[in-house]
Amino acid sequence: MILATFAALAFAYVGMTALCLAMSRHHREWCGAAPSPRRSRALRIAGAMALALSLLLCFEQRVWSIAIVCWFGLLSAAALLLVFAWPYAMKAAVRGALLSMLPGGAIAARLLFDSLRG
Amino acid sequence: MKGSFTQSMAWLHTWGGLVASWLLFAIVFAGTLSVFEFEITRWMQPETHRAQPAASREAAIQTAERYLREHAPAAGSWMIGLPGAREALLEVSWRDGRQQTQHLLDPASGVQVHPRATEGGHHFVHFHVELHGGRIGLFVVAAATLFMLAAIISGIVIHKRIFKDFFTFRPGKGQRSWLDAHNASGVLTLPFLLMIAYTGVTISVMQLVPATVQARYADNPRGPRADVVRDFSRPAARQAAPLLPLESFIAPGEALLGAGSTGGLLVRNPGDVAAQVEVIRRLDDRIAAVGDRAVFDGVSGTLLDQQTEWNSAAYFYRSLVGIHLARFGGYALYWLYFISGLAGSALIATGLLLFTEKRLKARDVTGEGRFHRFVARLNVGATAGLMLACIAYFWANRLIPAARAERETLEIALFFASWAAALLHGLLRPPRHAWREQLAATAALCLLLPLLNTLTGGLPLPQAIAEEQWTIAGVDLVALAFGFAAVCAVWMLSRERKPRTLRRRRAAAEPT
Repeated sequence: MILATFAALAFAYVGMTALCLAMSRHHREWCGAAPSPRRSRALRIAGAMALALSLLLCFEQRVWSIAIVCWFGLLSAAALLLVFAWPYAMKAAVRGALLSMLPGGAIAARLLFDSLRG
Repeated sequence: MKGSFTQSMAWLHTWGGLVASWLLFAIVFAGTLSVFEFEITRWMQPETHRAQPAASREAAIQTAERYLREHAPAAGSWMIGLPGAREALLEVSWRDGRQQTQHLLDPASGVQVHPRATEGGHHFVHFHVELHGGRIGLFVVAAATLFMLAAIISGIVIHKRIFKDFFTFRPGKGQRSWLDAHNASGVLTLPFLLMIAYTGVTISVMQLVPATVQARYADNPRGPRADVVRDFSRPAARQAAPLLPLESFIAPGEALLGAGSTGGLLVRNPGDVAAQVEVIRRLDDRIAAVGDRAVFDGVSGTLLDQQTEWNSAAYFYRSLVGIHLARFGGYALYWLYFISGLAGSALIATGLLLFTEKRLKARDVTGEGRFHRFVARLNVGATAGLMLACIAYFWANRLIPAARAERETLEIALFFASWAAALLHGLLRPPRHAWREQLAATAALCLLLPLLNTLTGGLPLPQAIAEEQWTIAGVDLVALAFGFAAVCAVWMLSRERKPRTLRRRRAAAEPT
């Protein structure tokens, strides 16, 4: 359960970062140019999907009521981390999101594999 | 309160927020610490730090039963609280007539542990709920919470860029940065803030509006509970009969309540023909704070009755209680509540700072300088001073001799004395100095706490980490984290430029 929670936190953070980059002001802060409408939409969809995956991971070994409370808490924590890290270490904040997808994705894939098999 | 809807909401947010915030910061910050009530209590009783876990749950129950047979063979009832993820000790208590006795045992050896008398982490809970002020305190807290709800709602109305500024924080820009921080800590934890403020008021409704109970139960305040929680007790038959070994009730109990779910056992009339053993389910794996129970005949072992179904209104009410208290979901959830609570504290503190930042700049124009300077000074003691008092309470716990009479009252008295001293200090010193001095004092007390723990008989931090005793190490580590944060705050304050008015005044005073 603890691994799934970490993966859920990772994807909450990934989702928040993608949603942040989908906004032209933050995208401009990050790389100097506003995102194209297509890119902006892609980031928004990716962000929403990451947040949905985060919710799914919260359900691992939890009753649904606690899972939802947990998800709201993770969303807050991830967004707070991103917002207060952003002005100081933008590049690291985005890189962190990309890197956290590796262990997060591995855990999610493993859980999916286990649930399909068993 | 003239003008448009938004303007009146802004007025409500500003003034409603201001009058309640000095108190609200204390309530929210104490509530945040209350999440780790049990860990703080454990830390504050170093006599328990070296307790060892039992070999198994069955062994712990046998140890407790042996102890009770020896020390309370004639008691009317026995109660056993099993060690869990947060409670390291085995708790046994018994009732003789009206007198209740409670002992704490080392689960491995079964030897009684004698911890010092302290309110421990419960002090923060008690302060959070009613400021140690009984019924009046409860009403004051409830009133402040209603102000908080009003401030949250009016804040949503006047914050027109909730989504546009969702991820916005621009540091180093004075008032702008404080407003960004205020908005971010509010918007990003909004579900938590609404939930905690709303449930904070509603779960006290029976005390706040006694008419709700009186209308149906007349003058019996226990009426609602008696209607919901079924009473399984039966009188003793005054005829001796051997009690089955208590651990033998776990398997049939958990067949009804769920595997691994036993939190404690209640034995009525031990040693009597009418003995009963009640298996009580633990509360920490669902939101609603209700205790399912199964009760067995203590002599024959047959199931007598059970309560796993609840009146739906009562279940809903206990869900509000549970979601506020956060006793469910394990450490992941406790930490999320803790972080959200800190964000809520930051929301209130930045709100207070914004009030003065905005107005002190314009004070020469408005001519309300004296009031705003007073607010600026009160802010110091209400926020930094409260945090200083909280860490001073940890020091009081270890510096007051363990055997001193009424030490638990003295600890709390020292908490209030430190807070009063900090408020006074904040009113007397210029705010810039007062902030720095109180934060520096907080930093010193926080950073030295692990050392104090080691020197006054606690489990030293390195050893606690090595032995994975996280309930003890956690308190030291969080204190260190707060200490570093306070050091950063002091460093930022001393780097800040002097206010322009001061420099101007100084320039004017200098002969040219």
